[in-house]
Order: sequence, then C-alpha cells, then structure tokens
Amino acid sequence: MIDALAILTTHMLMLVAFWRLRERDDLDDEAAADARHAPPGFLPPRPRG
Amino acid sequence: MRDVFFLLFLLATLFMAVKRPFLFILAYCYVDIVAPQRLSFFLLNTIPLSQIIFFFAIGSWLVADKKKGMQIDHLQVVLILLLAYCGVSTVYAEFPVEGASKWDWVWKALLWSIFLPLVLTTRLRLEALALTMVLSAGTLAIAGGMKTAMGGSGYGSLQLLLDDNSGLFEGSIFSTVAIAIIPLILWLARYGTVFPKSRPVWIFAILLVFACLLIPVGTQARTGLVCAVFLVVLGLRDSKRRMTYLGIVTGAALIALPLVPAAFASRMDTITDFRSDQSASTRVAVWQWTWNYALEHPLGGGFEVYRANELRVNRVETGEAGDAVNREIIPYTDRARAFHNSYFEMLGEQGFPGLAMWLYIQIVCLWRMEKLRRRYRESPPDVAWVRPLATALQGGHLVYLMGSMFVGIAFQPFVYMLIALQIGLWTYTNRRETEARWRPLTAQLGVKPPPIVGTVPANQSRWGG
Repeated sequence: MIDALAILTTHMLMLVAFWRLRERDDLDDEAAADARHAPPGFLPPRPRG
Repeated sequence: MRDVFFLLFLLATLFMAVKRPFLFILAYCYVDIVAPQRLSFFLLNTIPLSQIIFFFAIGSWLVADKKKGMQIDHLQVVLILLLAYCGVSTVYAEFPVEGASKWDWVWKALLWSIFLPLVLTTRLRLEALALTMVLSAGTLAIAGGMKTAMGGSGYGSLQLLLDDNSGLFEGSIFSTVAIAIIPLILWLARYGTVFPKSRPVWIFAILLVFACLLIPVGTQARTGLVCAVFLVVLGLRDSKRRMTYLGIVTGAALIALPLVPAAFASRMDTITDFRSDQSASTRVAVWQWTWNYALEHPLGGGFEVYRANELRVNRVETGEAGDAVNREIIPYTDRARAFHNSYFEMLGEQGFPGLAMWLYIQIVCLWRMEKLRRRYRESPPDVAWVRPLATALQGGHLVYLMGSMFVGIAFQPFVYMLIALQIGLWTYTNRRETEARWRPLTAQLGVKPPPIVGTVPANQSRWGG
C-alpha cells in the first residue's frame, strides 16, 4: 500500500513534468524560444492600394 | 496492477517523447534509477526495457535533436579513458566471471555519463534532468520514509520497494543518495520552472526532504547519519544567519532524538567504538589488505578483486564482571570481504591509474562548482539560479564523497548522472558567457550599430539578454 502510494505520487508528478516540458520551446533551443516570444522588430507591412 | 501502471506510465512518456525526443533521455534516467522492470511481476520483467529505452534515447538524439550548443568537455575524455581502462582490467581480472558481471553494468553507467552532457544544452534540460533524478529517487525515499515513520524500519530489513539488497536498493547506498539529493530538492523548490515556486511545491519538497532524512533512521545505516551530519555542517557555508541555523538544527535534533528507535541509537553508538564492532574492524583490515595488494599490483586486479582477501582480525569484546570491566580480544578470520569504501574499491580494482582518473573527475567537478559559486556570487535575476545550483550539486557531490568512505559506490550510476549534470552546467555557463562576450565587428571598430527594436539591453543581463 505504501509502495503503491509512493509510486503513484512520484510517477504522476513525473507525467505532469514531462507534459509541461513537452510544451516548452526553451527545452531544445533557448535562443529560438526567446526570438519567438520577443516583440516584433519591425512594423507589419502596410496594406497596398 | 503495478505492472499495468508502469506500462501505462512508460507508454505515456514515450508518446510525449515523440514530440520532444529529449524526454526519451529522461525516460532512460528514470528506468536506470527506479528499475520498473525489477519491480514488475509479469509484464515489463520479460522484456529488455533498459536496452529498448537506451536505443530510443540515442537514436532519437542522433536523428531528431538539433544539437545546438553541444560541446565536448575534457572530463568526458577522462571518462572515456576510465571506461577503456576498466574494460582492459576486466580482460585481465583475477576473477573474470564475477568481474564480467560488474563490468556489465559499469560500462553502461560510464557511457551514459559520457553521453548525457552532450544533450544538456539548455537551462531547462539541466532542470529537467535534476527533476527526473529527484522524483525517481524520491519514489524510493517516500516509500522508505513512510515505512520508517510507521515503525517498519530495521537494519537490513527496511524494504525499499524491492526485496533485493543490490544497487540503489541497498540500505547504506540509498542512505547516501537520499541525503545527497536534499540540496537538489531545495534548489528545485526555489528555482524550478517546471513546477514553479509555490506553497504546494514547498510543502512537497519539505516532506520529501523529511523522507530522505528518515532513510538513515529506517535503514539504520551509519553511513547515512554521517552524511546527514556532514550536510548540516555544509549548510553553514551559505547560511546568512548561522546562529539561527544552528539553533534550528539543534532544536530539530533534540525533538527527533527521543523519537528515534532504540535499535537505531544503539547501532549509531558503534560509530565511536569501531573496535568492538565486527563489521567496522573488518573494514579497516580490508583497507590495509587493499593497500598492500595495490603495492604488489599497481595496475589493479579488476572488478570484484576483493574476493581474494583473507583477513585475520581481532575484535575487542567488553564485558562487566562486578565492578571490573573486562576487555577480551577475540581473533577471527574473514574471507572475500567487500571494500566498503569507494576509494579502496578503485585502488584495488583499477589500481593507481584508475584511482587517479576517478579522483581527478571528482576534484575537477568540485573545483568547477566552486568556481561557478564564486563567479555568480553577485548576479542579475536571470542567472540567479546558477550559483544555488552549483552549490546544490557540489553539496550533493561532497555528501557522496563522504558516504564513499563507508560504501563501495565508485561506479554507482546515479552518481555518474550527478557528475554529468555538473559537466552540463559547466559547459552551458561557459557557452552562454562566450556568446555574451561576442560583439559584432562594427561594435569592435567603434561604429555604433543601429538600434534593434525589441531586444533586451545587454547591461540588463549577465549573458547579454
């Protein structure tokens, strides 16, 4: 019973952690994640006509 | 039921890893620490789970990982040399069959520690590995801690998920590891971004630390108590209010003392009188034997060479007869006694060259973490996590080296992950600092570059934004 509780607690936390890691851009590339979240450097192009 | 749960957990993890291959690497670390295949009864224990996840991890890294910022550190080269040396010593081992069985898991632990720093290229990856290690070891710590709290402890009888006294499941070894991860638990609670700092996170972290502290009590491993005291002393280094810290520790010890089992207290008493303890006096004899063996065989005798020893030891028995205290010397013979010390384990098995390489790895890791601790003493908020992580890793490593005085854990896979984490932190901070030092040619020539909208000014970050 105690073993089951210990396994359940830590493994559920690991699953949540893995899920959150899966959603994080900065897991693989910090520079790309920064760039994606940085504000745009230039104004959007003006509509023509 | 347990088998089905493990299977579902692994399937869910592998499914998530399809999007982020780094999760395969975390999955292998988890399998290496918790060993779900050993905890299973019928499903996972029939397949080579560790090998399957290993090939997934390496394969996905080769195929799908960007490898941006990957660096090779000279400690990885030393680890390769140690691996090669151990391989050669296994060929010429005094006990080739027994030695081969140890080599079977040692090469995997070394290879994994050589590989891991290559993938630790971002801050989040460092944190993710630390979190996986803590939660995986936490599975054993929570089970052991709860059993101890409920009175189910005893020397050699506390079952850590598995009725098997090998690897991380062995009492003294896990006592050391449980104490060694405490600084890392506290770092994750304070600086973690996967589970950001919050009241529930702190409550879980404190309970986990408490469970870890209960492991030496539950296993009645003297090594664990020595490690815990050592960690408390280490805590003095960075404590801003030392007297308060000492007061809290003393108060906690005074509250805990009446609650510890009598068996634990009587076993801990033997620390101060090793002559009366058969186990301790035999250890000293083994270390003497190993030193003499190494002088005769400076290149080592290969894995499991301790099996060659035959020790003549004297044990002192103290008895009371009326008012007089009698001390009787009882000689006895012990054979094939294990090293019970990682330094002598390295010396006996791998000789002076192996011990030198092993010590070099330990010393360089400690020295580097100290360097990071000093370099990041005053740092802006975006890198405020570096110094505490270096402190936590160094503290854990020092606890391991202290525990190594009493248990043969020179090749413990968990510790090699801790070493890989230190190499990863070192290469990561060096790379980020190098990137921050880089300036465009126009700036070097004194030409002011046009302002770029949307970037953080370099003076607001140690690493230049």
